[in-house]
Amino acid sequence: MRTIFTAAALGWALSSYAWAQDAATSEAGRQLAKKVADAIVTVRVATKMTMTFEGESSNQERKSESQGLVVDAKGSTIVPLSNLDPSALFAAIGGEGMSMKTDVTDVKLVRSDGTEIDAKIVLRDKDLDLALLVPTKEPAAPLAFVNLAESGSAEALDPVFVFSRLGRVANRSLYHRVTFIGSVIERPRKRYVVEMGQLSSEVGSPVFDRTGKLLGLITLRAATGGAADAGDMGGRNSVLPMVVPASDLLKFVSSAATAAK
Amino acid sequence: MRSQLLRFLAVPLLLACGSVVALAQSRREIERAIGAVKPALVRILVAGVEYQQGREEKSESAGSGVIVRPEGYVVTNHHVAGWAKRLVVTLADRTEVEADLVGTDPLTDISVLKLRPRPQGPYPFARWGDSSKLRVGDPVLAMGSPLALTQSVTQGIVSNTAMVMPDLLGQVDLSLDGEDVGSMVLWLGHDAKIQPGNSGGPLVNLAGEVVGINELEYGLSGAIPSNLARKVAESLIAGGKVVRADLGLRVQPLLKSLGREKGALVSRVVKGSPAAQAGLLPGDILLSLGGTETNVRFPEQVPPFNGLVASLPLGQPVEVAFERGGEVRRVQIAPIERESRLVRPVAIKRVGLVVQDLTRSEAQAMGRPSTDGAKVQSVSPGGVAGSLKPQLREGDVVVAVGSQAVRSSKELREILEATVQPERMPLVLALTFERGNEQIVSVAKVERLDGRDTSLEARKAYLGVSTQVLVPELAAVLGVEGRKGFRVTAVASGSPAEKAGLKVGDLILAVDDQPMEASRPEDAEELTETIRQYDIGAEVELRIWRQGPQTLKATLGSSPTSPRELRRHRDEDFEFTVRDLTVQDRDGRRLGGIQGVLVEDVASGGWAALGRLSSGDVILSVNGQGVADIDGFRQAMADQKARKAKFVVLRVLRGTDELFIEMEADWSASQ
Repeated sequence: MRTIFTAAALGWALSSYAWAQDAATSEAGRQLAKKVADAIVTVRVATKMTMTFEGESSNQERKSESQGLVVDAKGSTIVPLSNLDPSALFAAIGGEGMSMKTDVTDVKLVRSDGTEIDAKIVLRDKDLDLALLVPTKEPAAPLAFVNLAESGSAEALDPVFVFSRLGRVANRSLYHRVTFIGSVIERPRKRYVVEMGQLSSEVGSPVFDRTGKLLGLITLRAATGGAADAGDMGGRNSVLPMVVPASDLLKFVSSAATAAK
Repeated sequence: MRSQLLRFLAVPLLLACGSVVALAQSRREIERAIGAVKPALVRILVAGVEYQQGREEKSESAGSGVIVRPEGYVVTNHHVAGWAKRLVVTLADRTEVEADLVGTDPLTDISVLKLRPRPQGPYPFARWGDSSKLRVGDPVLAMGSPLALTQSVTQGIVSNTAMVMPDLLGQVDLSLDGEDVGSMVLWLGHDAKIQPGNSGGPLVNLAGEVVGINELEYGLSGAIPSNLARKVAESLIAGGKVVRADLGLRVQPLLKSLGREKGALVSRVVKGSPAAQAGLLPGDILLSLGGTETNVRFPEQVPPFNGLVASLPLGQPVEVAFERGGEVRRVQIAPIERESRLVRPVAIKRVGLVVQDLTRSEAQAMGRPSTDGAKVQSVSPGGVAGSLKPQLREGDVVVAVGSQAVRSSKELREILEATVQPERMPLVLALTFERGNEQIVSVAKVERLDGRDTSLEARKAYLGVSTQVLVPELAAVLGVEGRKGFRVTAVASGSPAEKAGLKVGDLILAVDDQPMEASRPEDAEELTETIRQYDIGAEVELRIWRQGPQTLKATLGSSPTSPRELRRHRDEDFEFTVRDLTVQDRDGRRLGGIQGVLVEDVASGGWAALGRLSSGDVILSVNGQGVADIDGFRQAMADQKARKAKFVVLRVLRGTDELFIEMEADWSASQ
């Protein structure tokens, strides 16, 4: 009887501890969200895609929205390249005899207050699946941003915060989620894998560690070597969302000046 | 016994001989019929236009047709040629002749083209037959170019002389540009096999006469009867259009509950039409029209009724007898000209918008007092029109730009082209449009028109080798068991790797002091990623295995320019884009030192596409003038344009083949 009482007390204590930890995590996440929310913007692009199959081309235009992270006060924004231009991803996994060419014809940053900023792509990195956008005119007032130099770190199973922008249907509200590092990939380059949320497309979402520092940005990673295997029904061998570490993001943004020379 | 045997054998022998004779006779008739029409049979290559996503897009298709007059008039289907911008016709002797659209009639799906005159004189032509004389079971031949093959013939019998679209499985309409073809056409059903590409080709009787124009395949093949096709074709030849009378009423087959066998049930009376002004109402039973009894008990009787109405003399009152509440009434109605539903859209390229004028009947159906305005057909998502808020939708009617009223599509184009000018940027564009009973003002801030993406690729350190992972099995085969790393499979020309002396077959085991750990296919990127960690211009030491351990030093370069960053040239006359060749193009295709430009895309329906230029081709010369790069190509094409060359012949490399591509030029459309 005494044993049962002891076990019950221990169980209660453990669950209380877990609850207390969850509550603390939630509060930390809310505080962080307030700090970074304005730096997470909707990116609206118009693209003209030319699909070529066996020498014949056809065009299609589309408009799409995703999210990006503002990384300086002038409005420089990083976004997964595949959200703007899926042609590199298509080339990695596409079928024989097919090719895709994409022209991005219009880019707008849509802030949380609904204002739109005309922007253009200045740099692409298809290996990291990243694009750097800058406003076509310097904003009248400095924009909220996340400092890439203050990068975080995490180990497998550490809790992390993922923030994304919901669509127009949800008034572009911020979507908050706490998840865990599912995998830390060391080679050929460090990347993290987190479980993806069901409600919102999180490609382009920033991920923060439990101290509130930027861990990285979720982009798509395509395996090299052409189309998926026949047995690769879920595409797990071909494409997977992964977190590109903040240090790589910083290097990418810094390289814009070099590329322009 | 022997005589009995002979008697038994004689009967089937005689029957067999009879069959052989009949077959031979039938064969001769078929050959004669084919011989009479085949010289007039043509294949039509159509470069047409489609309007979608706010743009005018070219398209290519093929169909069939038949020459019906020695001047070169060709009858085909509206759905083959009605939207053609360019027509190239292949005659039975395989020569190609350009043609022009004379007129088109979506209501009966008939178009007429005219072949351009040729030095040899008149064209061979086929004779029309009388489709009313056809009976079920009559043999017929379907002639045309199925699937764009060269002229072909299939054989069958007439299966139905009054075929309508079935309504058992729900309403099936053949609607073309707003016209219900089945409201005017009773098809000739037959079982001669037709395929896409046969459209517009002749259905021929054994007398070698055209008794129908093949149009559709719906279980059975269906042809427009020659008597109707001929009448429409002659109207198109005479005046470019078909003039039809209209009373403004629709009929449907009598309901069983009416318990009557004669008359036609009026289902709709168009507001403001002659029938409405004469007092006709839905539910009236039409008894006669201009003295002709009207009986519509079955769907097959609707097209003849509509034909009767269409043939009434315009403006001349005809007596219409109808019954309402058991009382027979008579009124005089003067038919008006039936309005065509065919409206050509107007593309406003600068803002990415396609609009079209409203027809009278559309305006009426929308409850609009006039046809003023421009109806939205489609919007380019990336264009100025696509950025309007709230967004324009198909069917919205634009009635004003700012304070300027819009009366027609062309007027909207003029206003927008004058308003949205690059030198006026940024500007606020306000369009007023009507949607249902709402009048909405839609606004866009236009900051620039040039939406070109000029972004650069991130530059990274580059070695310039292609490799394969040294998996354990490969290591064993190469006699280097236990080693990990990469085997060099290709060395890019002029790359740091080539300069360092790397060769195909070398094994890269380490970069500086970092050993390569690759031993699985998953490790394929280890070397590339390792190299990318270095600065451009850094010197690295490569530990390799070439019949034993060696060390090479390489100075890393910058990753090569990607194809999207290269200079390109769009030829607007022939509608294709070329770009310079990259090192990867040269290495991947083993082009070596060949000079030329790469064809990046070829617009469907353009002169280059018609000449069969294909994306991926490498252009080596233009009318004999060698092409080294984009500048050379641009200059060579400019030279052809300056002297208005009738043909531009490109020598191209396609795979390992070299061939000539002949593009025919139409400089008249050139700016």
